[in-house]
Order: sequence, then C-alpha cells, then structure tokens
Amino acid sequence: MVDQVSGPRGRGRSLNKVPWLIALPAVAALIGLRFLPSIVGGTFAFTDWNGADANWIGFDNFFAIFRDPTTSNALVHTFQLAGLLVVICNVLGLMLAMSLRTAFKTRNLMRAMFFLPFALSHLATGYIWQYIFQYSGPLNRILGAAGLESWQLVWLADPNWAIYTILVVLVWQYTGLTMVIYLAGLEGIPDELHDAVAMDGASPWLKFRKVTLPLLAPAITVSATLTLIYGLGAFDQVLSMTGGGPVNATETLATQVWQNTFVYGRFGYGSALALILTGLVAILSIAQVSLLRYQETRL
Amino acid sequence: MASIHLKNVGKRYPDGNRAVIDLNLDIADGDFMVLVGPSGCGKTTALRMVAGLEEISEGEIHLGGELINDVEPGKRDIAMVFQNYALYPHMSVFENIAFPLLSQGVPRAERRDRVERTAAVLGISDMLDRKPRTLSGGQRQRVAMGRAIVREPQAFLMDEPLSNLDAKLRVQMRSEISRIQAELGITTIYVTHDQVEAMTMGTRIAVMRKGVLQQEGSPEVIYGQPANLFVAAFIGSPGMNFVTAELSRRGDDLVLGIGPQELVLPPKTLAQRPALLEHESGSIVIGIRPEHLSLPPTDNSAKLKATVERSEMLGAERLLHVSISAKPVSADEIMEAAEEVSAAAPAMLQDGSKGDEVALIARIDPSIVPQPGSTVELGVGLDRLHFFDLESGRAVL
Repeated sequence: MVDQVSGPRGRGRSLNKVPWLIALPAVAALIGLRFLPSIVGGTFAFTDWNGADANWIGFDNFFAIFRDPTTSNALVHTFQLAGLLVVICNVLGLMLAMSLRTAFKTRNLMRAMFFLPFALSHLATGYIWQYIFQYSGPLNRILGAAGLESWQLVWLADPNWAIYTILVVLVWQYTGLTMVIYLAGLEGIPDELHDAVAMDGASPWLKFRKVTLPLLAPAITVSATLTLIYGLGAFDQVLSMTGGGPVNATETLATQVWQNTFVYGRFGYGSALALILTGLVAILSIAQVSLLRYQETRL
Repeated sequence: MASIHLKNVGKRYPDGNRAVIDLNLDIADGDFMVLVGPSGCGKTTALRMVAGLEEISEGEIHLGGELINDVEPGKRDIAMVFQNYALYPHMSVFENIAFPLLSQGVPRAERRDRVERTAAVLGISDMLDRKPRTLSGGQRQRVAMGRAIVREPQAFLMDEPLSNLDAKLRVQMRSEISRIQAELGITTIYVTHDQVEAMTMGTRIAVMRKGVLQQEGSPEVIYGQPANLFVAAFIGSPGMNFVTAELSRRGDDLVLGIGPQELVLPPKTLAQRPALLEHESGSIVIGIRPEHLSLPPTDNSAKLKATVERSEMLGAERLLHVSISAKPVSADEIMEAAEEVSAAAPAMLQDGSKGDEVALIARIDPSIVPQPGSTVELGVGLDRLHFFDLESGRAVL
C-alpha cells in the first residue's frame, strides 16, 4: 500500500524538475546576457568612465545631468512625444480596429497594411521618411502640385515642426500595433452582448460609451502602456530623421544616451542617463498600469 | 402585447444552406409559444429572425399587425432573454436592468422607479448594486428577465434561457418564468431543445426539424396526437415505443400481428382512423406510450406477452424494460422513412431492437417488482395506440 502511494508521488517529483531543466539554458542566457550586463552597466553610472579610466564619483553624473539644459530639453521632448503618441495612437488604433472589424472584402489586406509599419525596421523606415520630408522631397512636391505651396515647410529643419514630424512617423509606425490590440479586445466581446445592445435599442454612441469602451479596458491598458514605453524610448526614428536636431529641437533622452555614450565617449554620464530613462519608463509604466487596472476594477 | 404572425418565412444562407423553410406560425396575443426541436432544426434562427438579429430571406413577419421585416431590432418593441444571459459584465444589476430604458431616453427618476418595481417582482431588490460575476446562475437569469420585463415590450423572445442552470434550478425557474409570463400576459416565443420544458411551459408548441415545422398545437395535441414519427419520437420521456405490425382483417375485426402475438382492434378504432383501411394486409408502425402499457393488465385491455429485461425505480413510478418477439422498426425501410421525418428517430427506434426482438418500456406501479428474465403479460390500451405509415412516417388518422 505504502509503495503504491509513494510510487506515483516519487514520479511526480522527478517529473516536476523537467520543465526547470528545459528552461535552465534559456534562463541562464537571459540572466547572463541581458540582466547581468545591464546591472554591471548601471554601476558605470557612478563612475567617470571615458572608455579608458573609471573612477568612482558617486552621484556626480546625476547632478550634472539635472544641471544640463540639453537634458531638460530632451526630457520635455520625450514627454511630449510619449504623451501625444499614447493619445493619438490609441484613438486612431481604436477607430481603425472598429472600422476594420466590420466584414468587407479587403478587410484582411487592410489590416495587414496598417500593421506592416510596425513590422518594418524602424531605422530603415526612418531614413525613408527623412527623404519624404526633405524640402525638395516628395511631400513638398505633392503639396506644390496640389497648389498648396504655402503649406510647404522645411519639415525636419524647422525647430518648431521637427518634433511633430517625428511624431507623425511614430504614429504611423505604432498605430498598427494598437489596432491589433484593440481588434483582439473587440473580438473578445461576446456576440450575445452585441445582440443584447441591438435588442435594447442603444444608439451607436451609447453602445460605444457604455458597452464597447468599458469592455475594452484591458486592451486599453495594454495598448496605452506599450505606446508609452515606445514613446519614452523613441530613438531609431529620431536618429535617422534629425539626429536630435535642429538645435537640439528633437533631442530625446534616448538620443542623449547615445550621443553622450558613443559620440562624446562619456560612458559614465551616458550610463547615468540610461539609468534615469529606465527608471522613468518603469515608474510611468507601472503608474499607468496601476491607474488603468484600478479603472478596470471599477468598471 | 401583440400577436405575432410568421408567413412563409425562410432563411437561406449564401452557401445555399436553408436553416428555416416556409415557416408559418400564428401566435395569438398572450400566447406562450415554445419552439422545440433538436440542434440545428432552425428554431433559434427563426427566433432571431423575429428579433431582427437575423435577416429574413423570404416571407413576412408581423407584430401586432405591423410588418416588421425591415424594422431594426431595437425598434421592434421586443425584448429578448439570451442563452448565456448576455448581461453587461461591467454594469451593476441596476444598470443592466436600466440599460434598455436608458437607450429609450427614459428620465432618470422613472428609470429608477421602474427598475425597482421590476426587481421587486423578480425578488432581486437586494442585489441591485452587485455585478453579474458575483451572482449565481439563477440570479443572473432573473436579472436577464428583469432587463426584458422592465421595457414592458409587446413580446418576449427567450432563447434556451434555462440551459445553463442545474436540473433543480431549471425546474424552479420553469414555473417562475411561466408565472411571470402569465401575470404580465406578454406574448412569448420560447426556444428550447428540451421537450419537458416545452410540455410544461408552453400554451402552444411548435415542433421543428431540419428547418421545417413538423406540427404545431397545444401540449395535449402534440403529445396525444403526434402528426408523424418524429414528433411521436421526440416528445415524451421515456419516448414512445415503436413496433412493426401486420394489419389484417378477420371478419369485421382488424387484427394487428405483432410477431407471433395478435391484438384485435375494437371496431371504434377503424371508425376513428378510417385511413387504416389503406394499410389492410400490409405493414404498419404502431406506437405505444409507456404509460399505456400496464402491469398487471386491466380487465378490458388487450394483452401482450413480454420478457422482463430490467427495471428502473424512479420513486413515484417504475420503468419496466421488456422485450417482445416482433419485427423491429429498425428495418431499412422504416429507418429510411424515419430519416425522412427525423434525424433522431432512427437512433431512437434502433435503440434496444435486435434481430426479431423489440425493446419496449412500460411505466408501472413502483410496488410491482418483476424479476428479470420472467415473462409478464402487459396490458395494452388499444384505444391509445398510434399508427404511422411505414413509407412516409406520417400518422395514420
């Protein structure tokens, strides 16, 4: 009797180890190649490492960062891009998802087309957009041909417009992602609820406000958080389109990290900036998720 | 409150599949009409067409005399209770019940008043602030009913609303829904695959199969005078017993040959069913409800010898499973005929019939305990026999 009981139990224990053993190489690689270098890299934030010498200087890099007006500017641009990206991407993504949920012939093709920008290389498409936005580029030529010469701008060289030009590209790139998330959210709303709303005679606006939007709350949380993270970390598009210019008008925290670290060779300073950016992304994302989750539970 | 008329209503899908074929139903004001049939028989599609949730391919639907084919669901003044309740999960019970009123632009104070009155009728006044996820199945069912009732619509549509409840609650809710419907007097179409629900709730029943209406009538008519093999087999639990018999005339009497045994039909049988003459000297299917086989036989009943197989004690009654030597109804020709009438009938007919043995079920007194293997004489209520044509499966009347 005892043997019969202990037998299966023993097998169960040995079986439980198998998933861990299978996962072990991947977990080790993740820790060794991803987390450990990040932690070690983080410690450089407290040094004046310039590629050769590294001396422990405590929080001096952080004090320097907060005194640097370029960094303050970059912080403002980062918030500007992230905030607008979250709002515009999610509104457009939701509108697209709702439009592309209805059955029509080219629906899947349209969905693929809108999602494609997210799947393409951000850096490569950034260079294409840089060409499009040049003063003699296709956009101004089209505006000229349409008789809208007054609308022609030096999009990427105008300090007032450059940041919004980059925002357009970011929106183009990430709206497809939010569309997919909202499509999944919309698919998750049971058909019976749509039928119930139809039977209850709700207007399209009442249906959207009182039923669709509240039931999309989990999708909104995911989509808003992802777009916030992408907005705060905007780098590829900025680097390829303006490089942070003109006159630092499009500098973001991410481009500052790159510039200080790899252009100026200030590895310690760059690490401190990267640490601040990481902390900022983490804090804002967690705060946003907590807020949206709280809203979800209230719904 | 209003009458509902379906005139030659059909539903054809783009792939050519026809879910409902030429459906004609007249549902009087205040009627409780139950659409019953197996899965895929078209009953839910028919209901959804009345609701406006499904486009009508052909025919006309009238509500209170008005043609509503092209009227939007929300403007038909019809309320629907769904199989999975379809409660809005993020809204409280109050908000769920109030939502149709909000959609209609009913003022806030009147909304509150009507919701509270409806909740009182359904006994859910103490749960108005709760979310659906915190409610039991029965409570959700009541909320779904509340959402339908609060509108005071012209008609209720109910799509298998009890199918997610456990057996005990289902019985309770059955009478609850019947009570509310009777009190409000609102014309109701109720869809179910459960024939017990149909029999107990409906003032009228429409039996459907493969998109075609098989028979429509009161529960008594549907049970007592089934129009064909399908209706006979589908309605009743346990189902009707079927056996093939040879019909012949001996003098003035009609005689049914069931295997080696004979039953002499009383003269009034022929008077009641003159069409039996057309089957003289031929095979016919006879149907016997379990309650019309008695043990011991009553004095004036005909007798049929049978071998006891087993019995099931149900408390108030006992189901006696017996076998008789006779031609099973599972022969190819009757299976094909039954298939024409019903998808369910062949399986039901085939069940228990092997070789030249036919299985029958009798509903008897629970105090009688026949031994398995023993031979018993069952009384047969000859005036309660049903006759079906072997070819078409239609009742011989």
